Amino acid sequence: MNLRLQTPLATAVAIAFGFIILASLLIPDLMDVRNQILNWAILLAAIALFLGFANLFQVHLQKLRNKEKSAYSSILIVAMLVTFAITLWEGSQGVTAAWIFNNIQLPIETSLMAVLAISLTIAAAQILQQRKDLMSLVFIGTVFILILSSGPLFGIELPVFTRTIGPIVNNFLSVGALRGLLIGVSLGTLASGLRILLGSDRPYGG
Amino acid sequence: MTYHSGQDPEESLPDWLKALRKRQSQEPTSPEGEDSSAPEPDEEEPDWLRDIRQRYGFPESGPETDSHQKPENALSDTQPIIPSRAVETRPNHEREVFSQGPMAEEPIEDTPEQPSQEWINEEPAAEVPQPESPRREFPDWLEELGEVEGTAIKEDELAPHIPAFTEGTEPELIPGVLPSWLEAIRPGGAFPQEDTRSEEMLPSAEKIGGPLAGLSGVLPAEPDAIQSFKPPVYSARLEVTDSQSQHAAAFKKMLEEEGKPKGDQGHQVALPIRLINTLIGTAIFVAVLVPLLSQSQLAPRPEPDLLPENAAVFNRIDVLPSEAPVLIGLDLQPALYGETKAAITAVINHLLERQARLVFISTQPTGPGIVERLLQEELANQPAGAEGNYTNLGYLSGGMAALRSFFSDPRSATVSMSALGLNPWTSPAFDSIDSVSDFALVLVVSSNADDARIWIEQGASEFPNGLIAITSAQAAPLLRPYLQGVPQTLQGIVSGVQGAVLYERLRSQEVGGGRDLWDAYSFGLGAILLLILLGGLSGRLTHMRLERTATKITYTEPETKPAGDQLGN
Amino acid sequence: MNLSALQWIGLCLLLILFFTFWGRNNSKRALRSIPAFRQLRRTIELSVEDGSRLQISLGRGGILGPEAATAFAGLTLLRQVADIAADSDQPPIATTGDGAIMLLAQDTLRNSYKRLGIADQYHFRLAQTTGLTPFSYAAGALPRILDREVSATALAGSFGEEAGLLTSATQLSGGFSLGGSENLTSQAILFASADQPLIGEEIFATGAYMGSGPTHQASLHAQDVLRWVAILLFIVTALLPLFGGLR
Repeated sequence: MNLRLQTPLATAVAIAFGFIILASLLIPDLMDVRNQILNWAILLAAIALFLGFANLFQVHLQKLRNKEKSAYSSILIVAMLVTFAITLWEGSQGVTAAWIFNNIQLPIETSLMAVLAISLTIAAAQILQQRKDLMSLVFIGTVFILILSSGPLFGIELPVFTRTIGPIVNNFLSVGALRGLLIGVSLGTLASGLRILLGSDRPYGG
Repeated sequence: MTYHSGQDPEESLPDWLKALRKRQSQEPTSPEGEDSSAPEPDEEEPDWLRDIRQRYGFPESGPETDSHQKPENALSDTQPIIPSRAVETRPNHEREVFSQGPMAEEPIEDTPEQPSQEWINEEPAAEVPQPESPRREFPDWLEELGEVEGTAIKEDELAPHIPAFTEGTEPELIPGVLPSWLEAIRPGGAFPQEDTRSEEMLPSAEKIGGPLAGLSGVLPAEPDAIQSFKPPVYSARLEVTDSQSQHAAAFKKMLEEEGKPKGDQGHQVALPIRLINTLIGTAIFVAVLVPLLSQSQLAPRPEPDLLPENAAVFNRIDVLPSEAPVLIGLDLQPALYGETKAAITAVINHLLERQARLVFISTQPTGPGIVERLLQEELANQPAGAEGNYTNLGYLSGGMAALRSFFSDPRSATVSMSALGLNPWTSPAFDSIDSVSDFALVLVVSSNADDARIWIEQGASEFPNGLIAITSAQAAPLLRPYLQGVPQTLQGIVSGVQGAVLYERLRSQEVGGGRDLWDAYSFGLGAILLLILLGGLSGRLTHMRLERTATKITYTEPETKPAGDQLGN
Repeated sequence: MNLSALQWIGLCLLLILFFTFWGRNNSKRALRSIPAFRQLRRTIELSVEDGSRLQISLGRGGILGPEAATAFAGLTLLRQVADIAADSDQPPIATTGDGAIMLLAQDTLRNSYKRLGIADQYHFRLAQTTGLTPFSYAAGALPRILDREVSATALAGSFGEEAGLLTSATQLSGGFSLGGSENLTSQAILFASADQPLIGEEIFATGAYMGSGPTHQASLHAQDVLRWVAILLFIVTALLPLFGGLR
C-alpha cells in the first residue's frame, strides 16, 4: 500500500473509531460497540508490548552483527532469551523466574532509583548556580520546607515545620498548584484528542 | 572644454586654445611627427579638417571617393541634422563652472572628442572656399553662428567653419568602409598621423616633464595644471586599539585551533563533576547506611494525629469481617518497591490478620512478580502467605481501557493467569464475586499518582465499600483532593516511610520495616538538606567570584576625523 | 455551576474550528515566546551543522490512557525534527519504553524520509524500544547519551522519575536537554535537572511552536480560552454560595 492510499485510509479509520467512542457517551446503545473496540485496543496494546520486546531484540542483534559494543549486546540478548525461555517453561510465578526477578531486576531498578536520589540532590544544589530567577529560589525554598516537614532530621523533629508549615504547603499550596497544572494538562489532552478526531494531527504517520 | 554665453568668452579660453587660434590666424600650422597620407594642409587649418572640407566640399576622384559618393547621393534625402551648438543648451551654472577657476584653464583631456568638438564650434571663415554645390538649408541660428564675428569666442579665427554635410557634394559612403573623417576620430586611430596641434599645445617629448616625461603627443600637465610635488609619506604602521588587538588575537587563535584535532573535552569536563557526584553519593550513602546497620532508634515516630488519613485506613481494615474478599491493585514499579515495601507489608499484614481473602491484579508487567516476592518473602511469617492462600490474577494489559473493562466485568477481563489457561474465577474464594462491587474493600498500591488516579476516577462508582491507597510519598499530595472531596472517593492513604511508621504505631508494633528505615530516612534527609544548602551556596559564591574577576572587554570608539580633513582642507 | 464532559468537548471543538479558519493569516495572533522551543530550534540547526545526533525520548506511556496525548506531542516533535535533520550526517533517533509508541515513531520517521525523498536511508534502528519498564527504558537510553553519541536530548512524552536519569546523564556529557511531560512528578524533576523544562501544558504546544500547521496553533488558542472559562467557572462557583447566603 503506497503512502497516498495509506494516509487517507488510516485517517478515516482513526476518525471513525474515535467518533464511535465519543458517541457512546451520548448513546447508551453503543456501549457494547465501545467495549468491543476497547477490547480490540487492549489486544493491540498487548501485541505492541510483544513487538517492543521484538524490537529490543532486533536492535541488539543488529549491533552484534555490526560489532558495535558487541559484548553488551550479546549479554543482553543471551539474558533476554534465557529469561524468556525459563518464564515460558515455568510460568511467571516459577521459582527460577522469581529468582531472576528478585535478585537481578528488582535490585537493579532499586539502585537506579537510589542513583536518581543522588542526581536530584546534585541538580537541586546546582539550580541556584545555573539559574538566577525567582522561580528557582521558590523551588529551592519549597524543597527545604518539604524536607524539613517530612520528618525528623538527624533524629531531631522540628514541630514548626512538621505540624504547621508542612501541612499548609502540602495540603493547600501544593494541592492548588497541582490542580491548576492538572487542569492545563487536561485541556491539552482534550485538544490533542480533538485534533486527532478532526484528522489534522496524524501521529500514525502521513 | 569651455562654453561661453553672453559674456566675453575669449578671456575664459584656456591659454593653449588662445595660442592656437592666434597661431592659426597668424601662421600656418605645421604638422609634427608622422607622415600623413592626407594632402598638404592649408596654412590656416589642420590637415584633417582640410580633408573634411575637400571630401565634402570638392568631390575627389578615386574609387574610395566614388564609393563614398554613391551612398551619399543615395542618401541625399536622409542627411543628418546639423547638431546644435552645445553652448546654446548648456545650463548657466555649468558654464560658470567651466569658465571660472583653474579648472577652466585645464586642457581638454578627452582628446578623441576634441576634433569633433572643434569642428562643431568653429565658425565659418571667409577664407574657406565654399562648395559650389547648393548648400542645404540650415537653421537661422546656425547660419548666424557662421556669420558672427568678433564674438567673445572668436573661434572662427582659429579654424574656419566647415559645414559637416553639403547636399549633393557629400562623398559616397562605401559600405563597410569608414569615412575618413570618422576614421580620424576613431579611438584606435583617433589621432591623425600627422599631429596638427601646435607645439605650444603639444610640446615635444623632450619638453614634457613630470610623470609624463618622455611621452610624445601628450598634453603638458606642467607647469600650469599640475604642480608636482613629493607626495606625503603616510605611515604604514596600523593603528590598532586594544579591543581590536584582543579580537584579532581571539580570531587568530580560533583559526589556529581549527586545524588541531579536538580533545576529549567532554571527558575533561565530566571528570570534576563525576568526582563531586561521587563525594555527594558517598555522603548520602554513609548517612543512610550507618543508622541502618546500627539499628538506632533515635528519631521519634510521628503522632497519629499528624496523618489522619492513616488512621482512616486502619479503621477501615480493622472492621472487616473474616474472609472478606479484598481486591488489591498492585501498580507498583520495582524501582519504588523499596520505599513502599514497609507500608505494603504493614497493611497487608493487617489484612491477613483480619483473615481477608486477597485478590491481586496489576496493570504493570512487573506487578505479579512483586506480588509473589511480597507474599513469599516479606510476608512469609503469615500463614496465608506461606500457604498461598491468595489469588494472583496476574497482569492486565491495556492500561486505563483495560481497567475500565475489568471494572465493568471482571470475569471477562483478559489477565495473564487466564491467558495461561488457568481460570482463577473457578476458585471457591470467588463464588460470591460477580463484579468488583462485591469486594469488601479495594486497595490500590501505586508508586505513581496517575495510576492511582485511574483507579479512583474509573472505579469510584464501582466501589460502594470504599477505596484506600498505599502510595509513594510523592503521590500523596496529588491524591489528597480525592480524600477531601465531596463525595469522598478515597477513604484513606498510607504514603511513604512516614506512613508506614505511623501505621505500625497504630498497630502497636514497636519493630517493623518502617521503624527499621525511619532513622536511616531521617539521617538521609538531613544529609541531603545539608548537601543542597552547602552545594548551592558554594556554587553561588564561586559563580559570583568568577563574575567579578572576569576580564571585561571594553570597546573604544575609533577617532573620527571631520570631513574637511579627509579632503585635505 | 458545572459543565459536563460533552459540553467541554463541544466547546473545545468549536473553538478549534473557529481559530483554525479565523485570523489564520493574522500576524497579530502571535504566540508568546517559549525559550525552550527557541533553543531547541537552534540546537537542531547546530546539530545538523556540526554533524551530531539528536535523541527524541518519547517516554514509556501507552496510547490507551491520558498519557497518549503527550506521546502524540512527542511524535509531532519527532516529525518536525526529522523533516529538518533526517538527511544530515547523524539523523535523529527516537527511543521509547512502549511498543505502540515505538511503532508510531517508526511510522513517523518512515514517512518523513519518504517525504524528503531519502527513503532508502531509513532503517528500523532509528526508532527503538530501549526497555519495557520505566527505569529499564531509561537505563537502555543512557549509554548512547553517556558515550556522547548524542549532543541533545529532547524528552517529550510520558515520563516518571526516570526522566531525572536521562537529564542528569545529558548534563554529565555536556549536552542540551529539553523535557516535558504530563506527569507532575517528572515536571518537578525536569525543572531541576533539564536545561529547558516545559511546565504544565507547554508540552502540548510543541506542534504549534515547531510549525506543524494552523490547527495546532488554533488548538493552543482554544486551550487559552478554555482556561479562562475554567477560571471564571471556579470563581463563579466559589462565589455562588455567598450570593445564595445573602438572599
